[in-house]
Parts: sequence; C-alpha cells; structure tokens
Amino acid sequence: MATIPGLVLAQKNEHPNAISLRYKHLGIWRAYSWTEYLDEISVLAGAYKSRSVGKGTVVAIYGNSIPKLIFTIAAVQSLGGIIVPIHPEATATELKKILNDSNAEILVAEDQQQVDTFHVAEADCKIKDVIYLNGRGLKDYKNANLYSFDEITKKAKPINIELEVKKLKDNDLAFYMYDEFEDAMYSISHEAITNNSKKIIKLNSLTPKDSIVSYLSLSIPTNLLFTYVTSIVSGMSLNLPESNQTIEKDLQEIGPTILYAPSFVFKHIISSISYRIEAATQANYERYNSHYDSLMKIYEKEVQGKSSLFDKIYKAYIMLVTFAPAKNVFGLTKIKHAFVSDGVLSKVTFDFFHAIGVEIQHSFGQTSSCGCISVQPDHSVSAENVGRAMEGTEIKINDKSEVLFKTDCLATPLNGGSNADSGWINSGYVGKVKDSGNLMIRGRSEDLIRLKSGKEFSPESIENLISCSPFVRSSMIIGTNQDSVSVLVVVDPSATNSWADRKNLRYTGYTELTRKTEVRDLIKEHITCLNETLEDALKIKRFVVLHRTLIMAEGEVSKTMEVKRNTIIANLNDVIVAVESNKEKFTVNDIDSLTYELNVHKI
Amino acid sequence: MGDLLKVENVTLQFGGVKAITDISLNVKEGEVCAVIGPNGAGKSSMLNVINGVYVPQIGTVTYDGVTRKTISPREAAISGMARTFQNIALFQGMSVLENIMTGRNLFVKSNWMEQGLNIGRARTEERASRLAVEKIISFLQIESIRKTPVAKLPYGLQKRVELGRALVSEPKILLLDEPMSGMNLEEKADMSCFILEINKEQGLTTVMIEHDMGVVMDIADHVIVLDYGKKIGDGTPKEIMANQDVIDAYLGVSH
Repeated sequence: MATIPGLVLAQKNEHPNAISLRYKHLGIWRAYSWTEYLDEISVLAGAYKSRSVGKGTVVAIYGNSIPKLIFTIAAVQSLGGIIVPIHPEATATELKKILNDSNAEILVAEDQQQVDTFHVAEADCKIKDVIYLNGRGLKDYKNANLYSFDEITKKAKPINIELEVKKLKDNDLAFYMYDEFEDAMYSISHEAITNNSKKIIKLNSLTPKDSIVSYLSLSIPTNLLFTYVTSIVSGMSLNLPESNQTIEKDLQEIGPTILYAPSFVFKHIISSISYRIEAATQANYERYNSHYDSLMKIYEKEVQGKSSLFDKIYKAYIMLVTFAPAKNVFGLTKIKHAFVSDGVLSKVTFDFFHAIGVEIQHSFGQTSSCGCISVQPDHSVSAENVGRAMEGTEIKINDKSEVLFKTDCLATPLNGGSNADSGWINSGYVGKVKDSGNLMIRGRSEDLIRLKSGKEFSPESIENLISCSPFVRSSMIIGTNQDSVSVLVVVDPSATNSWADRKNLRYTGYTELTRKTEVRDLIKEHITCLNETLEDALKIKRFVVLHRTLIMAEGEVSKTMEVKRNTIIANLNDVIVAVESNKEKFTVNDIDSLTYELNVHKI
Repeated sequence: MGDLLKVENVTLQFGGVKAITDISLNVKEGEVCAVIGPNGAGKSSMLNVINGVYVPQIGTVTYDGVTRKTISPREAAISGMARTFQNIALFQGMSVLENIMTGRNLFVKSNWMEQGLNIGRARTEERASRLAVEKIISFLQIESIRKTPVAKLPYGLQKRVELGRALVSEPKILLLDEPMSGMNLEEKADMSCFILEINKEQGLTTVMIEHDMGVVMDIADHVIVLDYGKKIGDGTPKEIMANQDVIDAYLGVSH
C-alpha cells in the first residue's frame, strides 16, 4: 500500500501512540499521536464528504502549515480527492492560474488574507465552496459560498478510513503542484511521491524516532516531499512552528534531528551569530573570533585527514565553551541530517556548519521529478556538488551543458511544463557530472550571462559568494552584453540595522540607511575582498545598493527567496539602464510611484 | 444602543487652573468615540475623571447605569474600565507575557501562600489567566516577543503590549490615551486595525484620545472636541469636519 492515507493507517497500526504531529498553539506545544491523527482524518473525511468531495474532486489548501490543513490532505485523499497546495502569500494572479489549471472545486483558506485574495481572483473559477479556518475579520462577509471549517466539521460523521483506503489505487493522483519558475502545473501520484520519499528514508536511515520542522509552505514540492510525505512514510514526527516570526525560538524548543531548509535559513543563522557576537562584550568577541579561526583550521586538517590528537582535544574544548551553546540557541544540537532545499551553499557557510558538526547535505530536484533527483549521501559531502543521482534516477548532460534526467518517480505536466524527450527531461539547469558521479549545478540555463567579450558565466555562483556577508540579503548580477560585471545589492535590514546602531549612525528608515556612506563602504569592502577570488573577466566593477528589499508579492523573489531576474529587470529597469550607461547618479521611478535617488559605486 | 457612559456638567480645577469647565458628554454602547483637541485642552484630565484618578469639583459621571461623584481607580477597573496611558506605563524589566499577565490581577482570588506554593486556586487561576493572555498575544500577533523584556522593544510594540494588558482584563469600556502617538504609518495602520477589530467583533466600547486626524476620521463613530477645557464640538466625523469652531481651534483665528 503506497497511498498517503494508507500509510497513515499503517503508522497508526504500527506505532499507535508515537507522536505524529506537534504544533504550538497559544504558546504551548501540543502533540497528536498516530491514533489521534487518524481520528482527525476520519472526522474531516466525513466533513468533506458532506461537501461532496469524492473520487477526483480537487481541493485547494491555501495557507501556512497548520494542523487542520495538514489533516485535510489525507482526509481528502482518502475519499479519492486530489490536493493542490497553494502558498499563503500567492498573489491573486497566481491563485487564479492555479485554481483554473487544476479545476479545483473547494478552497480551504486559512484566514481573511487568503479569503480576500480569492475574492480578487474569483471570476471564472470553478470553486463551489470556500471553507475558512480562522474566522477573524470575516464576520460581516456575506458571500453565499463561504463556510466555517469548524461548523462543517462539527456536523460531520466520522468515516471509516480503513474501508476508504481499500478503494484507493497506488497510481491514483495525490497532488497537483504548481511550479513558479516554469509557470506550469504538474500532477503527482501517490506511488511516485511515496516511492521517492522511501528512497530518501533509505539513503539517510530515517526512523520513527526522528523529528523534522516544516519551515516552508507545502506548496513547494521539495518541501512537501521531505517534510510531509517523508514524515508519513517513515513515521517520524512533523513539527509545525507557531508563526513565521517565531521559527528560531520554535527550532530551539523542538531540537529536531532532521532539518530541511532553504539556503537563506542557514545564511540567516550565520548572520545572527555574527551580529550577536559583534554586540557582545570585548572579551567574548575576541574569544569567539579566536575560537572560530582555530575551528576552521582544525576543520581543514580534518578534511585532509591530518588532524592530530591535540587538535581533537582542542576542538572538543572550543565546541564545549563556544559553539555548542551557539548550536543550542538555533536548535541544532540534535541535528543528524540537514538538507539544503535550493541549490548550493557558499563554501564558507558550508564549511562552518560542517566544522560545528552540522552535516549539511545538498539536494537537487524539481516539481517534474516529484521533488528530488539527487541527494548527497550522509558523510560524503562536499561544498560544490549536489550529490549523486538517487536510486531509479539517471542523470546526463547534453551538448549545451544542460542537466537531463530520467526517473521512475515522475510528475506529469498538465499544461505545458518540461517535455520529456525520449524519456529524458530537461531540468532547465546547466551543470556537469564529475568523474565521481556527483552532479555539479552551475545555475539556470536561462539565467546565464554573456559578456561583450563572449565570456559566459552563471550569475548565481557569484551571487552566492556575495550573499556570504551577513549584511547582504540578496543580490543580482548584471552584465549581459557589457564590458564588465556589475551587481545590485539588497542589504539585510536586521543585520545592517543592528550594525548601524552600534556605529551610532543616525537614520530614519531602511531607504536612508542604504544611502549612508558607511553602508556603501561596508559593501565595497566585502566585494573588493571577494573580487580577489574571482577570475579577471568576472571581477565586479560597479555596484548599486538598492533603496528597498525585493518584494515577494511583486514576484521579485520566489517563495523560497530566490531572485526572479525578469521581474526585477522589469520593475527596476531605471537602475539597470543607469548601470549599463555608466551613470554615477540617477533617479528611479519605483513601483510605489515614488522617485528615489541612487548612486552607482565603482570598485 | 443606550449610553454606557454619561458625563454631566463636570468641572475640574487644580487650584486656580480650570482644566475642565462644565463639560457634558455621552458615549453610546459599542461605539468608538474619539476625544480630540489641542495640547492642554483637558483630554487626558477627562479620562482621569472618568476612571476616578481625579475627582471633579462639580458634576457627575454615570457609568453602566450608576451615577457617582467619586470612584477609586481600582473600583473603576472592577466595574469594567480598562485604560492605556499617554506615556507608556509598563513594567520595563518584565517580559511581554508577564506585563499582560498583570492585567489579570482583578481575577486573582488566591492568597500569597497558595501562589507561592502553586496549589489549589492559585493553580487553576494561573492557568485560566495564561490562556486569556495567550489569546490576547495571538490576537495582537506578538507571539515572537512573548518572552522579550518590554524595555528591549520599540515604542510601537510597547504600545501594543499596553493595549494587550488593558484587553486581558475583559473590559466593558476601553479608555485609550493617545494609542498611536510616536508611531510610524505602518504601526498606526496595525493599531487602527486592532482597535476596529475589537470594536466590531466584540462590540467593545472605546474612548480614545488621538491627535492624528486621519486616523480619527477613519475609525471613530463619534468625535468630541475640547479646547481650553471646554467642549467646542460633538458629533459624527463629518459634522466635526464642517464645524467652524473646530476649524478655528485647529488652524488658529485672528483676534
């Protein structure tokens, strides 16, 4: 049996009292055992049946990872329905596309924000019922098709999940997933996604004793696979943070054994450590820095297999006094496996986590491959690659250096999407396979930049290096048909604010902060350092500190905080033109209809 | 809806200074009433008269059907009045959670022995209070600063915590003294949302002193204008905008 509700049932029979799901509500962690999990599903299945959910009905879940939405997945699937997860911050345009492409009939929305977005996107949708979980602010809404989740479940008669599960087939459709970059919808069967999950479990020996924190929305395919599906297949507990703002605290309290997070989370941990250390007393600051240097030296020796007994003892000492407490603050003490969801971390970040004993493993995957095609196996990791092809998957590189793959856990495109060419699917990324069989990803093929000199390079690799600085939130390299490389830098508000406060800089807001000469010098110093590691043709010659952060709702960054070049080029066209035409000072008419004055700095 | 609060012919004097002169006003149950006026108009004194901090020389206050001349602030709190202050009055060294918890003081019946040993009533009361506090924390969306000492928070958030402490006492009427002073636009928008939401969802009557006319016009059902201790306007926001006396008081008039 490889259906999701079937696996929940199997977990209940095998470990009835083990914890399946933990979430924080009103300040207290509450837990569901697998028995309670199944009970919840049977009530919800009854509720959804009363709203005529049956075989093939598409139900959209629109909100953060909260228990009621999590239970909805298996409940709807036990009736033969299909789930479309939608990101809580999805815009009306995205929502409309997802609802139309998937033919969703029922929308389960978390709260007023989602209900309001739906009302903007509503026209031409086939949605019959909108069910909301949190009625706050919805009291005066008079829409006929709006129902309260609690009221529907109150009247529901529980359904025998065991009987329902027997009616399901392994190759029934389980999910429709939307791919933001390809702007395409995929269908995924129970069999495909659970088999992919089994491979991850086998490769990393995950057990029911493990626990994982769900950082991202389940609308992100790799996250759905690694957290939700894997917790059901392996029986490990899934932990849901209280809110996006409390994740750091929640991680500390849970102390998960598995971490699956996007690269910005790992980067955020490093920047938090560094700005906290800078604010510490002089003695602590010096101790940290000297221990950090020693740790990295010992780590280098370890990698080369040259560490002595003294090194081992000294490392144990500095871990005990400095890095173990730091790990504890971020809930990393018990981590066995930490997976990076998107691309590759910079070497500095990667090495630091390995040095403190958090073995980060890169993975690579896409919606079309049910989330994952390659994972670095435990203990054989390196900063530059994303691991070997998983069992049942083949990877090859075509003559344009594009990564092609074949997998037995395939998602099928609904409208458009990547088309398989004699069984090989183009990932849309360029890279190479090393002799060891490890895949190296250079970046998206559509993002490659060609300089006037004909030199072609992947901007992501340089952007990753720029993002090493705690003061840089994100960056975008420009240089197509130019003589040299330039970069747009978005400074990190929290790290830069606290740095500016310590320097006694006076400013009224983010925009003014970005215009400070001190901030410019800070970024300049970082880029100058970084230029030393770059080959001559790729050295950064000019940079602009942007006056605002990139906005997800405008589509400037993806839901996982990756920059979306085409939108940024459209929204900040004035900046690009000014940099390309070699201006020093220029004004920008931004999307908020205000005009800002910016400078291009030379290095 | 009837009047929840009725102030009749109140005059308040400090020595020779008349802070409030013969003011009468009514606040209907379930409305958001804004009291506006230039500095020194007597707005804060008016709130202090309502909740018993000051005793007026002349006049009466009728609240919830009971007319009285004096009331202690504690009695006022027991009768369902909660307030926030112009200058933040939180316990700076205590966490957000602890500060809001102090708003539950009125519901505590257990003695210090029970509390010290955490037995009997103290235990159940503590749990009930914590639940009420957590609901407020969730309502005001301040989960991430639950355990942060108040002194470390920016001004806008401290104001929010103060509102939380007032709300947790389950009041019938909320007296807010400049809830949005010193806030930026975004913080003002958040605060306005909270005030409106409490009013719409729970029907909580709110009397609010506020200087930001944009905010007042947007969220108040009823506006009272004071100037030099006298009432110069009383009506809906639209009526107040057209009132010549109010325009003169705000823009100044040549004498």
